[in-house]
Amino acid sequence: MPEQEPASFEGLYKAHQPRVQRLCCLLLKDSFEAEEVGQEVFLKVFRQFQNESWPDDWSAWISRVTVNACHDRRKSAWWKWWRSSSGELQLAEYPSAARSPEQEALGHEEQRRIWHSFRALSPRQQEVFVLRYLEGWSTEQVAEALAISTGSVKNHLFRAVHSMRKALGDRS
Amino acid sequence: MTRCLNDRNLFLMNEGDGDKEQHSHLESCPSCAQRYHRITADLQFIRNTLQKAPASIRLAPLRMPILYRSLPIAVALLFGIALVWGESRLLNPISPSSTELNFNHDLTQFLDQVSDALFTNPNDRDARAISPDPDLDSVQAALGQDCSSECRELFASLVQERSR
Repeated sequence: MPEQEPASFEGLYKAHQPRVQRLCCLLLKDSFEAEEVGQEVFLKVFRQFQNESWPDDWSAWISRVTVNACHDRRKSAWWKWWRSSSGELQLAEYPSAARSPEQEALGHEEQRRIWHSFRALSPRQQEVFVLRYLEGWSTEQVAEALAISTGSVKNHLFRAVHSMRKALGDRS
Repeated sequence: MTRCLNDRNLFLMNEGDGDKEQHSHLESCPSCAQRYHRITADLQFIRNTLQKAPASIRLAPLRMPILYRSLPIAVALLFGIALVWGESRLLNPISPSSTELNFNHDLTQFLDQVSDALFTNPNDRDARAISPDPDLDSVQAALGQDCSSECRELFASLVQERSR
């Protein structure tokens, strides 16, 4: 559903910046890199805002621009070479009073495994997963944004979920 | 439908796909229903984990292959240095030092002497070689104790011939 038209660019930035940053972090691994691409995205948003040929749905438009920007960044040869051996994932510690230290450690390990398996997915699988499950888009919207068929979207989704579940192991 | 559903079909049913038969099987088969619920629960857990991306995850600095990744930079740097050095050598060729000049002078002198010795008139050379009055003692001293009688005779005949 199209959102209300933004009053100012600042309002648009405040409303979407955390989401764009999260998307970039998910698709680019590195927080510095994500910040850089996030800035590129908002530069494009600013230009679009000035054009006054505004999209019907800013949220969807920004998501699409973000995914494309991350996609372009990952395609660059220099980036591929530099990131070919990714750094070690470190999950920040957030102790919870409701869980025992053992449960905490177990949950931490599960999170780590999920993150590692997410990183191991193909770029396309990551994009599809993020848009479908984290952005909450429909399969059709994802297919349209990425210019692929809905069958292909489902295929990517199944593979992504399958490999992450495999990494997660038996949780029962 | 009696056959149990595979993971792919269960996942697609979660996505809203699946025909009537599959849905009725899922309702009637506890095993498939359990697997279906596990898929849904796992998916939810994965989503929750990935949702907290910016707050809870960061990447450690890249450590391992720094040497490997710096290699092209090092090669480029060395190439640059070699290029600059080569260019400076071309523009300002190194002038020979005084030691080198002395050596060259000595060498030229030596070569002149050798060429004189080789290419002057052979007769003059013989005369020059015999001109100092050689005596048997000096020849013997030069040859050492091994000067045989044959050698002495040869030397004596040479001296006689010269005196004639």
